[in-house]
Amino acid sequence: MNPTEASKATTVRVGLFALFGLALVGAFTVFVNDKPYWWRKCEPVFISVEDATGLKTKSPIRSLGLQVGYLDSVELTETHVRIGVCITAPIEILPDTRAYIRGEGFLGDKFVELKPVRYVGNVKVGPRNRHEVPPAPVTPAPATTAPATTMNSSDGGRRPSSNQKLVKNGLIQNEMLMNPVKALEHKPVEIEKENQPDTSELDHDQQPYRVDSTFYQVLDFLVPSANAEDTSNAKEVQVGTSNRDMDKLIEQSNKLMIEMTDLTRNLKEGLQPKELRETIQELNKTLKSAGKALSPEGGLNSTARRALEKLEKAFDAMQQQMERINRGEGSVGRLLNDPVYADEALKAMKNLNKLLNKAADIQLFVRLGAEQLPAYDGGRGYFQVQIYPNPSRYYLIGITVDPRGRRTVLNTTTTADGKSTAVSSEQIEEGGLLLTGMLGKIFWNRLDFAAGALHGDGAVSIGFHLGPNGAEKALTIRNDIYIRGQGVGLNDRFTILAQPFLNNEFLGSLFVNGGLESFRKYNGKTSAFFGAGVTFSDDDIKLLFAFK
Amino acid sequence: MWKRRGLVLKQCESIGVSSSGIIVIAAAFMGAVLGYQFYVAFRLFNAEALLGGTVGVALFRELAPVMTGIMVTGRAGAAMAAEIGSMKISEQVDALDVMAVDPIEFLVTPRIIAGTLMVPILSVFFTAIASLAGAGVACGVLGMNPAIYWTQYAKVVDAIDLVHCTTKGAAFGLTLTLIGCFNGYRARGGASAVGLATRNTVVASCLAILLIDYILTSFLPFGYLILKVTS
Repeated sequence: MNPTEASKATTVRVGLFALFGLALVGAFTVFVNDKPYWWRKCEPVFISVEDATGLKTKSPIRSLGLQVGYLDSVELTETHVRIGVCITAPIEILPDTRAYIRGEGFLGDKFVELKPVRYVGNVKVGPRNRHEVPPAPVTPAPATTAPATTMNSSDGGRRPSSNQKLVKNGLIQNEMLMNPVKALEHKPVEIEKENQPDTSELDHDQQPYRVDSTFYQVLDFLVPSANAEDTSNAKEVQVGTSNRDMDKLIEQSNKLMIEMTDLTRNLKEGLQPKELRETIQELNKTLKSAGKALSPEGGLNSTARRALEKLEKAFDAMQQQMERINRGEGSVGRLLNDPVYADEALKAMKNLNKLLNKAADIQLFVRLGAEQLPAYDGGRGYFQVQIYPNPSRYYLIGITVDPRGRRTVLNTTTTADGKSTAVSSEQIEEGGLLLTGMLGKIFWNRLDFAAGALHGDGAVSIGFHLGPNGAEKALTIRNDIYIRGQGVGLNDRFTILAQPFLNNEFLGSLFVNGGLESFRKYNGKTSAFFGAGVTFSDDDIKLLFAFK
Repeated sequence: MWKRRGLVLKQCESIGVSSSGIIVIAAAFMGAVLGYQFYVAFRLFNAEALLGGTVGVALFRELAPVMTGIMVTGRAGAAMAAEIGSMKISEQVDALDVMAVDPIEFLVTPRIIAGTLMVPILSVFFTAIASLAGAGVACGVLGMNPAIYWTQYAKVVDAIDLVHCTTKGAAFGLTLTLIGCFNGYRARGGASAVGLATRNTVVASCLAILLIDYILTSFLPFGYLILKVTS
């Protein structure tokens, strides 16, 4: 036998083992997911509606906010749409149960709500009945819901049942209301009580429970208030159980609609469409240019004043229009009905959103600090602005007054008798302002690379942010390699910067720092330094950068 | 690798099917002990109803994959180190080279694939058996209602815990087979080298499993970090 081939017995054993393992994983998945909807026992109910917009299969069926089933099918019949619903929770459809098509917010998915219903717990719901009921007239429902619907409990469409439910005047009726004599033949569902001792005399903790109880019996045990039969301490709240209540509600909603229509008609007066259009267009242009200013290619240095003036003008014009509307001269209706206005308004809103998003992304920090350099017998003061277009990139600009002074190198070439002599001299101007301008990149919120000019010297920096997650900059170790021209070679500045109160609202802006100005000695002394300062986020400057 | 599938199947049988016996025994006792201990602890707070969920979460997230990894290390990891080590010192591996058979492809790869595939399945077995054993002790011996045990179990255990179990199982399977093959392949000298390789495999694998368990629990997005998301 080829040693690289497995015997048939091995193949079968491994195959069965793997299959069993996968089956176990599947079973666990179903079990711990509390039995997904496609696993649970289904009690079919049919609902007739005139418009099923937004409904699709597997849409949830809810009652009092809880999911009690799912939408199984949507079918078109001659005059209406028939929705097949699977009820999976132990609830009973009551004679006055109504269905409402609702949405989760303005843009959310549609779902069907049933109410009122009755929780039956361990009560057995009768056999699955499937009945077709002719569509009934529908009464308009409140504004946020679809019309009330016909609802049928069903069982395959084979035979009529006493559970049959009809709709009259938009309200669900059942046979008990339509034909009381016949309805008496139908016994209500019974609660399983056989083989259970009388436990009314026992305390709750002492009450026995059946070991072979179902899932819902367990729920009843754990959460006694969930048991519909336990009404001793429960307060009953009726929701739409009376036909009269529903009629009243619908009448009120109709009145409200009429009033809103009158209001809109009254507003359709006086406003000059041309002026409004120009105003919105102007506002739109301003916002668009402000958005460009924030884009990577945008000019951050352009004049903010001009943009603010334009924006003020636009807002003035808008305010005038609003005042006219307030005086009863405006026409909100015309604005809403004219697609040109709608487009412009939409563009303006989009640009405003873009602007706000970009402005929100930018982080801007101002840093003021001072450091004492004993070796140089003086102190350094600096003002820096750190701009973060995104969290991983920053620009650092600033000015510094440095005891080392501003260094100027003067190269002089002298030619005498055909020979050229180059002389390089260095001048130090004490008290001169030094510039800082660096471009930095931060990796993984921890590693910080930057290059540019730091305190007047060309420098390359590497830093490590060692603070805890979320406040990485609470402790930073930084090494700046810079060129100063004092002797041959490069200088190293080593800095430890601590902002221990970074997450504190009041003290969070304070920082202390210290380190070595250079690993080289200056005048025979180690050039250590120490200092402190304040860092704060400046929203005013951020706003100026946002508009150009 | 498809042409070597027979080797993979053989290793699957060796690592997975043959190990199921000790996994069942270990899981049964582990689950029973968990049932006792948690029941005693929860009894102090009159919270025995939480037993099922606690046993389930403990098994799925930690105990089942770790215990399975350690059991498979003792049984299959040591065996593969000894087998490859013996082949190495008796120059059978060199002979494979001479015959133009890649020893890594022939000896190592099937074991690693089999370990990575079989240990997650064994971990799920472990969980199932231990959960049943825990239920047996809690309900059969201590008189708890099985419906409460299993309802709490389904309520507390989440599908993500199953992902934990299988992910950790796969990582541990990969680790223990890698360490076993590495130590076996590195064996030099006489027979004592085989013993040394076996010992090193068991020690290193157990420690690596615990270390990787810590790392996965800390840094997996559905590990400890899930607390940050939900809080």
